[in-house]
Amino acid sequence: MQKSKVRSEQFKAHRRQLLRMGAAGLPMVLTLRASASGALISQLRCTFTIPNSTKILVDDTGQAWVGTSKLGISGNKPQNKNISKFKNHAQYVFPAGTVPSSYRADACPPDPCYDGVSNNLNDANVDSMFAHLTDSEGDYQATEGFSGAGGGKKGGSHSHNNDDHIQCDNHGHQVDEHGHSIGSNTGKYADCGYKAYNVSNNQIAPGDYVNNGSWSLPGDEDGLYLSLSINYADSYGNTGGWPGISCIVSILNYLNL
Amino acid sequence: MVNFAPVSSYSSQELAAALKAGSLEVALGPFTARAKGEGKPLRSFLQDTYRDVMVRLSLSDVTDIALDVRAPSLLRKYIRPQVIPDPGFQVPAVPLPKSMSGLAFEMGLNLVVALKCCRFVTFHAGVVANDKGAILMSAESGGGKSTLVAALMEEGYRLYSDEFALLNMPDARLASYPRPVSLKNESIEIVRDFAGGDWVSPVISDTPKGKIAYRRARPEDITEAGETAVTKLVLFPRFEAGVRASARGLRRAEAIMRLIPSSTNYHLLGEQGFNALRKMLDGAEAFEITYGTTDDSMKMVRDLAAKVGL
Amino acid sequence: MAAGPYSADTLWVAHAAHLIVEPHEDVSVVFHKLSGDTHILNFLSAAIVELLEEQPGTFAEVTGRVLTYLELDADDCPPSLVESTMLQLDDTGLIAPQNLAGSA
Repeated sequence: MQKSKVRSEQFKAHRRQLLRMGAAGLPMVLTLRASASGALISQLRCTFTIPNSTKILVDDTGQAWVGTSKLGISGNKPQNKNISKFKNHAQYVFPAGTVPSSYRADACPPDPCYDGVSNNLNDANVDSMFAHLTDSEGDYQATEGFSGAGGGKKGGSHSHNNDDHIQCDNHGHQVDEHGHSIGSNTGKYADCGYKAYNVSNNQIAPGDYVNNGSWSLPGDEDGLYLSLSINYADSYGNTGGWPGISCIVSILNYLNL
Repeated sequence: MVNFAPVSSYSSQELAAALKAGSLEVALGPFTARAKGEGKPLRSFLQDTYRDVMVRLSLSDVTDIALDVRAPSLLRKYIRPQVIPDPGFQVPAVPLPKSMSGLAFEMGLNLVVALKCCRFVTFHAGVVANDKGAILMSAESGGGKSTLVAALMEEGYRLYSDEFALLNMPDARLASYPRPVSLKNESIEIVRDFAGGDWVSPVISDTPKGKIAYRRARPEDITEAGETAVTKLVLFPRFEAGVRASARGLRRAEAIMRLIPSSTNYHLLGEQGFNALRKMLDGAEAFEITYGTTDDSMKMVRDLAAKVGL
Repeated sequence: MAAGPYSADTLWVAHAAHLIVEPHEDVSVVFHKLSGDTHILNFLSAAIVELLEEQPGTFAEVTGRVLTYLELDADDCPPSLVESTMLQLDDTGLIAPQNLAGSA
C-alpha cells in the first residue's frame, strides 16, 4: 500500500465511487479460493441435447409422461384430443409426486361426476403414503354399487385400477382412460388437469446449475427436465437410455463426493 | 532392474498381460504411474495415443500413481460392460462404456494429478515452451485451450501439458508433463487439418462431452519431458463465436486473482505455493485474449509471444 | 458479520508476522499464513490492516486514522463503512480483537 501522494482528481473520484459501492454493500475484501474445480469442472462440463420432438406432460399430482408423440402444445396447454395417446405412447412415466409443484397443472374443478373426490392424488396424499392409501381404499369401497352420475357422492372412475375406463361425459366433463379428469376441458386445449412442456432439442449443461455443491435448478423447461433426470438417475442410475443420463450421473457422483 | 522402452516396442500380448496384472509402469515427465485394466480398448488406446511414451512391463519401483481402469460392478463387467477410473480414492467419475476405456484412463490420471499431487502447484492450464520460456494458458473447458496448445505445437513449441501447469515450488519453473492433448468436437477436425491425421487418435463418440480425440505428443516432447521452463506469458483465452479478436493486458494482482481459483491444490500448499506463484509472475506478462477463430488467436499469441521475447 | 463478539470499545489488531502483503497500485494481495488463504484487499481494507499492524484501535479510532491516511472526508467514507469493512476483515482472520491476539 503506497502512502497517498498527490492524487489526481480522477483517482480520487474513482476511490469515492468504490467507497459508495462499499457503503452499498460491495465487499471490500475478496478471498481467493483454490479448488479442484478446474479438474472437476471438466466432469461437470458435460452437455447434452434432448432429442427432437420430446415433450413432457405433467398432471396436477406431479405425475409425468415423457415422449415424442404429438401433443399440440399452446402456452403449456396440451390439446385435449392428444393427451391419451401421448400417455399411452410415452417412453418414460414418472409416478405422482415426482414433478415439483411449480410445474404441475391446476386440478380441474370438481363437478357432479367428481363431486368431492378425485382420482388424482392431491399434495397431501403425496406427502403421506398412508393417507393416500387410506383415502384411495375408502374411495374404492364407496364407489361400489355406484350406478350413475349425479346421484352419488363418489364418481365412477375413482378406482386406481386403470381398467376402469368410465367416460363421464354426460355432464360435459371428460375423464381420460386413466381416470384423470379432463374436467371442463371441452375446448381445444386443456385448461386444467395437465400442463405440457416442449423440451425438443434443448441443449442443457447441467453443471451450470450446480452451486456450492448442490443443485440450483432453473424454473424453466430445462429445470423440469433436470428434475426428472435426477429422479431417473436415483432409480436407474446410468442405464436405460434416458437422454443425458451419463452426464447427470457424473454430476451426481461429483455432488456425492 | 527392467529398462523402460516405448509402448510401440512391445507386442499387444505383452501389453495386455502387463495391464491385466497391473504391472505396466508408465513414466512421463515428473510422474510414474502403474496402470491396470483389461480389454482391447485400453490396450489399443495406449498403443495409439501413448505409442512413444516409455513404459516397462514389470514394476520395479514405487510409482506416484496407481490407476485401475475397472468395471464399476460385477454386473457391468459382463453385461453392457462399463469402466471407471479407480486411482485408489473416490473420484467423481462417470461410468463409461468399456469402449471408452482410454477416456477413463485419461480422466483418472487427471484426477490424481489434480487432487493428490503436492509436489507442484497445479493449475488447470495448458503449457507449451521453447528454449526461451513458456506460455501458460488458463481457461475453462470450451475456452479453446487445447486447440491453442495443439496449434502452438505446430509453431515449434514443445508440448508441456494440455491439462495441468505444474509449477515447481522451489524455483517457480514449469515442469513438463506431455500427455496427449484432449480435443473435443469441432476442434478435432481443426487440429487434424494442421497436425495431420497420423497425429490425431481415432474419435471416441457419444462421450459425456461429445466427440473426443487426442493429439498425440511427439517423441521430442516426451524425451525432453525432464526439462523445465520459466513462464514468460500467461494467457486467459476465451473463445466466443464470431467475436473480433482482442487482447487485454492484466495487472499482476488480477493475474493472481485468476490463477488461484484455477489451481487444484493451492489451498493445500500454504506459503510455499503463494511464493512460487508470485515468483512465477515476476518474469511474466499476463493477457486475457478473446477470439472467434483459431487463426485470430494464433495471430494474437504470436504477437504477444514476440513482445515477451519468446 | 463478525467472527465473534465485539463492541464499540473493542480494540482491533493485525499481526504483520502472520501476513505476506504484496501491494499493487490500488489493491493488495495478502497471504494469511495462519489460514493459508489469499485475499485481495482494496485500498480501504488494505489501509485498515496496515494501520492496525502499526497500532491497535477501536472502530472510531480506526475511522479517524483511515480518513487522515487516505485523505478522505467522512462524507466519502462514513464510519459505518469502516466498521463493516473491519468486520469483513475479522471474518477472514486478517484482524481480530486484541484479547484474541494470537489468532490474527
